Amino acid sequence: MKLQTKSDQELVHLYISGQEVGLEELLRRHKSKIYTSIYLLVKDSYLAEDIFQDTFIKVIGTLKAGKYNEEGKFLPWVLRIAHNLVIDHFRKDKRTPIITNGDGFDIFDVLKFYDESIEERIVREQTYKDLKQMIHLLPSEQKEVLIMRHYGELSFKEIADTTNVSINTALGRMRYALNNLRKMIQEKELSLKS
Amino acid sequence: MTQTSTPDIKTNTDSAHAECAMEGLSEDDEQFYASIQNGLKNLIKQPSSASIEVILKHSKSL
Repeated sequence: MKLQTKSDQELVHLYISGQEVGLEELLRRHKSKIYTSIYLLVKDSYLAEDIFQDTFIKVIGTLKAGKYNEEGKFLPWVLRIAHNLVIDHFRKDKRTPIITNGDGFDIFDVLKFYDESIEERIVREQTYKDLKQMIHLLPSEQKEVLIMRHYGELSFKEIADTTNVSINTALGRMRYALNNLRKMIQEKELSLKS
Repeated sequence: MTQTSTPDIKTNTDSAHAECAMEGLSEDDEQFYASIQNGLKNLIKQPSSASIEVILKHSKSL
């Protein structure tokens, strides 16, 4: 059976039984979602790399110690660890996060869109840049729900558990996030058509 | 007050709805969320290969 067809749970079992390929596949499968979720919260690619590494060091420790709770899904569990590490960071380092230009890989730097003009490409890149800035402008609890819902594919129940709020609060935050984004998009007259 | 333009909605609303599966949100919210899916997807970033190496090395060292 190919690794790609195995479930997260099967990969976790493979890894616990001593096969490193289990972890390699889990990383390959989820690294972008986990890293993007961290990055959009901390807005600093160097810091995001550190927290990403620390997250997996905790994941590995828990798995190897046999303390992983089989009932939960792997990705929400890892995102919960990442979320707690982000909170720890801001608690320790009571400062406003700043935007830096790190050397992290950016999909826009390497993707080539042969069938679009230079103008179209500039507009598209500017649109995504605007959207990223708008997400950064959202209050942290709204941004968090949006990121967990979209990149983590977490249900509202899982988001509520991860952030220690009720499902209604999680849903309310998502509504506010969408409303705020909608207002900002309308103010900028931004089109998000692909 | 000036009328502002609204974002374009993805034509494949069925898949967008399935993707959202956001029970509890209004239809308007769901439609808007569907319209920004593509933009959100394009914000995806990757960790560096150095980070992946650090993690795998750490795992093997245990």
